[in-house]
Amino acid sequence: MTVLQRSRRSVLAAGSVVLAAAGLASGCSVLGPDEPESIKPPDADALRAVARESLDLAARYDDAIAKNSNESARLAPIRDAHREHAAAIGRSLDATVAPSGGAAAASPSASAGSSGPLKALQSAERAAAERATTACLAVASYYAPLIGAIAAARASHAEALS
Amino acid sequence: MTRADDRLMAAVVAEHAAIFGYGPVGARLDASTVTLAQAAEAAHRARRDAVVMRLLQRGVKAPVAEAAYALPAPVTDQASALKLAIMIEERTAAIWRAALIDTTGDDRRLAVDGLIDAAIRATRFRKAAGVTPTTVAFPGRLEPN
Repeated sequence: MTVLQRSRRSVLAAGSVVLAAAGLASGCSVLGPDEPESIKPPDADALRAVARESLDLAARYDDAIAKNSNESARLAPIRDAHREHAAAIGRSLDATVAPSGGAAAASPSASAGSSGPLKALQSAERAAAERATTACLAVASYYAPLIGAIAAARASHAEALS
Repeated sequence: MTRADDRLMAAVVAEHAAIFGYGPVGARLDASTVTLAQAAEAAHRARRDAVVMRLLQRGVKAPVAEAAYALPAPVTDQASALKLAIMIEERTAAIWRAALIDTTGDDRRLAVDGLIDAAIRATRFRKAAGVTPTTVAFPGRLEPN
């Protein structure tokens, strides 16, 4: 039987390939459990650490863009994503996450060599993705999709810079 | 059947569909991009097999693949093939992201790895397609970011 024949039938179901879409449409919401009434201190710490790292990374991109404006089109969306990540965590915590004192931002590798800055950002993204993955595995389930998506975004940033 | 089992079953369905989708995708790609699709298909197979095995170990029978799946749009050339590949990865990412909330321990590890790998592949295909930006802020979130 050809794909085409099958398609006529299955288009009725979802109309979309990745029939995963069918799963999404049938009530498999990401929003499972309600937001916990109070966040446990270890979870709050883990979320704040991920958010601080997002802001530190954003600052490093600001720096890289300032030094290399012809990479702006590629780097600005990534910087903005990091800020969005911090803001989303801030909403989850219902509190402002202030930028850290610049601990991670002070990493010296950011200013090394001419092709160095992008390579340094790439490895910073990979390391940050690892840390977000670890956090994703540790936090209460309500926070896991957000932190998991941040881990995935960081990993994809490293890919975008390659 | 636990909620985690349900999420893993949904993921198996998504992975079956992804594997199917790379058939028509691969047929329309040139030599330099077809290797991306082949690697992606192999990764989806490996992930699917791992999830099926995980379910089997708990006595849960995973859903089998359909003979074919509907494509959202005809795949007629390299551009439409890459578009489908990007969509496959975005949808797979969404299924794995959704699984995070109902899973713990090794199951959550499986889910976050599935999400991360799909996000990386989506970026690879956006780069190959010349789509910018090549990343999204929240992989697996299907509504506009």
